[in-house]
Amino acid sequence: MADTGGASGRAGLEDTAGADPVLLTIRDVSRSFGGVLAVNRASAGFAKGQITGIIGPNGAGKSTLLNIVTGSLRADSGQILFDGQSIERWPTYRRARLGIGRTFQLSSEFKRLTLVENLLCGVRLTRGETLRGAVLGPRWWGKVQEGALSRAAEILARFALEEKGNELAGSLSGGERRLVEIGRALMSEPRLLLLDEPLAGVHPRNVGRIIEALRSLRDEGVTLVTCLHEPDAVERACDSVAVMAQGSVIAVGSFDEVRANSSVLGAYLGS
Amino acid sequence: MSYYASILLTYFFIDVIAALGLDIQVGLSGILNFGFILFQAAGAYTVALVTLGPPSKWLGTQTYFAGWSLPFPLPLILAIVVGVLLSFLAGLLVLRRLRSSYQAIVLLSLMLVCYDVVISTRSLFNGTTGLGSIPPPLQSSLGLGFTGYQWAFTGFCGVICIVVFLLMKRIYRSPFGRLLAASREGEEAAGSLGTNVFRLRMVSMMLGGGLGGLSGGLLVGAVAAWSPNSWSFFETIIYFAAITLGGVGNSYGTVLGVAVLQIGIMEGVTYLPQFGPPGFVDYLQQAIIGVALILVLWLRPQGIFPERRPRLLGSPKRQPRLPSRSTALSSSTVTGGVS
Repeated sequence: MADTGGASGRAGLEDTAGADPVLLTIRDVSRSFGGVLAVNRASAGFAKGQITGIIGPNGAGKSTLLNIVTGSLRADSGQILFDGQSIERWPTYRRARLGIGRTFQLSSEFKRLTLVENLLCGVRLTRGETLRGAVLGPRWWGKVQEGALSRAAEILARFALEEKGNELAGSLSGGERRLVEIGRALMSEPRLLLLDEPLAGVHPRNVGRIIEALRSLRDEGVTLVTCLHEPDAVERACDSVAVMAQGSVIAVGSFDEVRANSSVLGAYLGS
Repeated sequence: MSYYASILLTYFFIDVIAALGLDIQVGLSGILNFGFILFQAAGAYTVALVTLGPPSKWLGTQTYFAGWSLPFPLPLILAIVVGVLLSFLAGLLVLRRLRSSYQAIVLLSLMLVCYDVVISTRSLFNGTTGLGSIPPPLQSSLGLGFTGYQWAFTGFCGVICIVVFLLMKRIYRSPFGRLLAASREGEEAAGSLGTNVFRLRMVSMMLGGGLGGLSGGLLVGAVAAWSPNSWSFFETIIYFAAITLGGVGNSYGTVLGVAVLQIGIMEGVTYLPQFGPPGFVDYLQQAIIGVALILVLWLRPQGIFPERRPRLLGSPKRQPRLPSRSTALSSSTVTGGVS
């Protein structure tokens, strides 16, 4: 995370001097649903190669903010810069092709596809993805798919799912589904991976497995931004934390810093 | 008997083509197209309009617009083109903003609106009476006898049906088919992986529409007539029942479903002795298909041949299939393990 909370209640982007280069910047982003302001002039910068946790009380606007960054929701106003490029008007698929991967709050694996097929959906096999390519048959697209299959097998092995590669994703446990989602996003070799509650509904024995996967991705240079609820997981997984309340980013810093921040305590405790 | 067999086979081949078109939309892409029969009707009317010749020769017994006499195979090609164009327009209407169930409602409404326009505007396609005496393709130039020509036409439909079937198999197994299935399972998730879901589904919609148009063009060649009775909503239900019974998302299932429904049930009922009020047995046909559809959805929703996914890792011996209680037409019903 590249900035710190400002006195006005939103993070000031100007305070980023000396921090890691910023990959994702959101500036004064707002989004309302009817009369409810879900995201209220939120601003923040997310540094390259870090895991940033976004925390906050229920209804703080965390998931809405992630959905705005990925393009699932359009912002009413504000700017989103990815590696210096303004993307707020781009459709979801174009943002994904630029290098923004994501997972969802509710597991969104393709249930009636096998694990390996799920992963293959994450990589662009341009030769076989058109009607013409499909009609031309496996001789036309087979070799490209072979390469992608090798990569899929590697990712499955990394998550200890190689034995289940040919099983339908709908038959997996909750934790395994999360891993498939992450693996699927990794197939597209994202520069930024947004994870919405990756530990929700996951058995405690699988939590460590997922956190370990996130940290190893970080070590490989992927920037991760994740909404989390569990303080223990935030402390274990995240390099920095952004706290949201009432749609705004109210504090940014290390876990210990934000835990001692009076605005954060006020947001959680209502004082 | 020979003539009857050839007619039955012709219907079978044509219905398989149409059902494959519906299956790529419903089974593979998750577009609940309750208005599918509209594309078949569009193909049929197109062939009629471009082969009947000028309306003046019918001395007022048939009225329609256009009225050309295009040589084979142009009418069939035009039938496909019209089916594709119509499905493109329908796709623009439903694919960008609407979720699956709303797509079904809008497509059904579109079909009903078109149906009403056709029966209420006689100058288009001769209203409720419909168009008759449509010349079968190449009948005069082939110089075959009545039965000989009928078998030749059956063979022609069979060849087209096989070609379409093989193409569909290629499509289902390709990355294109996989992405269609992924967009069926989760539109937002597919988009987040870089897939232009709208474009992908539009191609699927147009492909299905084109096959619908082709089936209509062939059908009108077989029966030499076409009227609103030929494309009521019930016809769509028959195709839905066929792909559901056989197994959505499985080309072999589609073929089997058509065989069981169109030949087994539809033709089987005609052999029943007449009983009850006049026309009762004919209506029984529809009732049996309705009951069959309900039973399949209750007892084996994945159909006789469930959708099979390829084993891409390791030995390709056994393909994973859906659990027995999953719902064939829904994407969110595969029971998962406990986390």
